[in-house]
Amino acid sequence: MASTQELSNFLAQIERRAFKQTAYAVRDDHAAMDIVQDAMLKLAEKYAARPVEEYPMLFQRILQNTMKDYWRRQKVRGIWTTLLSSLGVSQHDDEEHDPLETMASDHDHGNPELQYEQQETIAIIEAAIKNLPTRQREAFIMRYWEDMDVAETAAAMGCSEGSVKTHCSRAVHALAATLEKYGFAKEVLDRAGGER
Amino acid sequence: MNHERQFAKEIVRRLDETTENLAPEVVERLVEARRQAVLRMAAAHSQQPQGGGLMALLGSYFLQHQRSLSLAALIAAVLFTFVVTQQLTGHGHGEHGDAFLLASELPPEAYLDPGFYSWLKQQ
Repeated sequence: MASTQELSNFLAQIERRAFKQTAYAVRDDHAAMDIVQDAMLKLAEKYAARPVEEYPMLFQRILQNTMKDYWRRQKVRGIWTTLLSSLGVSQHDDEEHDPLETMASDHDHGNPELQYEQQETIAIIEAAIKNLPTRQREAFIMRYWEDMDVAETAAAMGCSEGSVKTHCSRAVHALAATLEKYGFAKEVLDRAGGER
Repeated sequence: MNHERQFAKEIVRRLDETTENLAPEVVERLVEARRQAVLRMAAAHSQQPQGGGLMALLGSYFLQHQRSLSLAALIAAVLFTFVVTQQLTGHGHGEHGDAFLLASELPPEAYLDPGFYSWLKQQ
């Protein structure tokens, strides 16, 4: 059974990545924050008796399910929005998302060109991740960002290990293609020591 | 495969940078969410049966199987009631039967039984 200290340490370790991961998926920081908080509470309440070693897989599973609940609610809300807009009630909705618009611009103290380039690269990487198909993004993030092994990722995603490998491979190739389009792939690959 | 992994790790390195530059209000909310989760776990732990050994084990087992155990207890109570009722009513029948036999007159066929007739003569 995990102690409260172990839970606290685990959450402190993953909370920022979980927030970013969720924000990539739902494209709304406030919703992402709510989802992460819900997932944390569910983990603490429902799985208090489980050992801390199981927490990465359990938390990812809860997070994915909480995101699915969010999308389900959004779908219902979307139906109402469509109905209302067809009745002439205006609703402001920024569906079109330009990654460069979300680039952080309030941290430009000591603003060298390098910092700008780094921000631009990160904005494009984040946009590419957001644009991945859901399953590919989940597999990529769990496998490489959360550093879960193939079996753990498969358990969290509820699919076979082979599917995880396929999703990861496709995600990497899709990201490479997107970065190449923006002219960043070479730089990233050079840093990775590859010769793509 | 290794090449894919290296590429992924390089992407992840960039993503890690984004977590370092989260807005302060996001960081604060995450800390608060974590604190709430820890409190929730402490509450969950305190709701579990206290005390060690057999009683704690039985207590948690009962909580887990509350419905099936309640059903079994109900069935046992019904069976017990049925058996006790049968026992009591059966005993009454026996007493009533004996009294009836002793009080009633002998049927004429009884006098045709040689054994009974000799016994009656000895009386």
